[in-house]
Amino acid sequence: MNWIDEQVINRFFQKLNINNINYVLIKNIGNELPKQLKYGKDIDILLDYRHDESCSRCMKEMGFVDIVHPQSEENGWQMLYGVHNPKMKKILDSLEVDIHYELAVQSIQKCQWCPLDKIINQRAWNYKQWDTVLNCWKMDEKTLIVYLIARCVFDKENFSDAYKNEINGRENLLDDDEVVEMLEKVFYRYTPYLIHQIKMHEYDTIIKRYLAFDRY
Amino acid sequence: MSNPGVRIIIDKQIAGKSFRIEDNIGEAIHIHWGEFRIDLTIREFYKLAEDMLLLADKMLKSFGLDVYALDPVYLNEQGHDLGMLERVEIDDVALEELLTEFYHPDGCIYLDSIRYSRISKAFCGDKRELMDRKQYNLGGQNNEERMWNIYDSIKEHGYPYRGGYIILHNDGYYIRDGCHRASCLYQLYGNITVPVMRLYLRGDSSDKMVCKIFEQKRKWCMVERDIALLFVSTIIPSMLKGKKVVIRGAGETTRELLKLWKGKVDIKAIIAKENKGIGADYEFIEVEEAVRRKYDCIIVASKLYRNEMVAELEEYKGKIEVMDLYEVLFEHNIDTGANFYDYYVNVWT
Repeated sequence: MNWIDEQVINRFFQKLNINNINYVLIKNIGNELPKQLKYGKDIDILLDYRHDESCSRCMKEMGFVDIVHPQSEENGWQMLYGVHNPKMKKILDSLEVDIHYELAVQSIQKCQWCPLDKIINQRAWNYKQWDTVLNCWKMDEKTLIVYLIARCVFDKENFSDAYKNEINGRENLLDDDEVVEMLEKVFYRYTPYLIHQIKMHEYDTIIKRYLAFDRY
Repeated sequence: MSNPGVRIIIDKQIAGKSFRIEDNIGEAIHIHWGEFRIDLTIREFYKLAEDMLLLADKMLKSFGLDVYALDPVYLNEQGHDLGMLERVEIDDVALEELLTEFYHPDGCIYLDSIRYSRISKAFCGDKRELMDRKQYNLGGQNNEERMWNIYDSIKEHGYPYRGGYIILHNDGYYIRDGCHRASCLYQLYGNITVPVMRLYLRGDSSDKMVCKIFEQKRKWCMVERDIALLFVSTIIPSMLKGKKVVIRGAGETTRELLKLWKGKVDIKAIIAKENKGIGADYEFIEVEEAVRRKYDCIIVASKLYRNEMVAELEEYKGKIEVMDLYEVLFEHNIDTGANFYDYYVNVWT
């Protein structure tokens, strides 16, 4: 198996940290980072838009180059509600970094990025946590579970085993008021049904039932 | 608040203002018209739709039109025209005379006989246009499922079933509703004559205009397309005889050329940034490599990007021959208007 060099990943985070770049690692599915990130897979980071220039400079110094983001305005995507155009940078034909400035998901209208509600985005910044293994900033668990669920429904249109494991591992958070409040900002009146389905591990029917939901 | 689960039910202009109905899943149905927005529950929205249908039925019954026999998709897209209804007539029309629209990647809309409709093409195995088409389908069907459902329905129930006629406006032949039915009938029974419903609408001259232009261009374009195909498949290969050829581009034109030139032209490789479905049969190389290997000719095979491609190859002038396929056709007075393998009649641009 071809893994991306761990050193490249470590150096990347180190560089952002040294330069006080305000970022958050959005997710680390299956703890792929730092040792088991396959070639072709990328790192998703949430970047404070005010730090875009300094981050670009740091990454350029490391040898990163801009590549066209597959889901960007350059490829005909529409940015809803003021979402910033995402960027993608690549180094040495290996590590790709997918940079978003807001937590956003693809709208069901296709080719549109729709931001998650303000309270979710604010929480991602206010509660960011230090990852002592990766030496980087990561998203807090409550925001993360909301993001993972939203991503499966809207971006992936599927709950893969890797995502199911991540969500199941945080299942206890589904009773947390803050998590419920955040889920309601995405799924509205479908939220209680969604929580029930996740708790019952009925992942296969979530998207179908959500799209057919009519009790509102 | 931003709801990523928004389905657009209708998006059009009414009386110069944007009219949009959105289903915000889990939240509400929003009806936007200009600066106004009405929020409804799903139950309220269904009731509103039922009441409007009932009202329309009462208004149109006197003209002999049963609104409930009309396809809801037609009512959604063109129902506003029914306010101009003067009379309804049943007419007999040969299927090949019926026209349907094509959305070309260059942004133009074209009309042509249903013999060449996206559905007829799909029955012959080319499903690209059918599957790419954004259309409203009922009951969560995809475009292909809808096609086969209608095909099966016609086989089982015949045509017209429960008053569901193919609809034309005034004396025109452009299908306003029933392209699937017409194409399925054509696939099943060939060019038979079928009853269609003509809705005569006050002040609607669009069909007359469309048909007039279409009739002028149709014969010309049929001949033109046949000539283009003949030229590309026979004359150009003879021009390339004994030459080692590379093709610049990996889109539809290239795929068509690879089929047409199989065994006729010595195609050595493809020059393109990515392999868009060409498969593993051909090597992808850079222009420099084609020059280094002393290949004889680069064929520019793209209608849309030909200017950029030719400009890009300018620096290799003198090192390798560059043949712009569409320029060659044009030089021989064959202007296809679209890709040489398409059969489109441009009537609105």
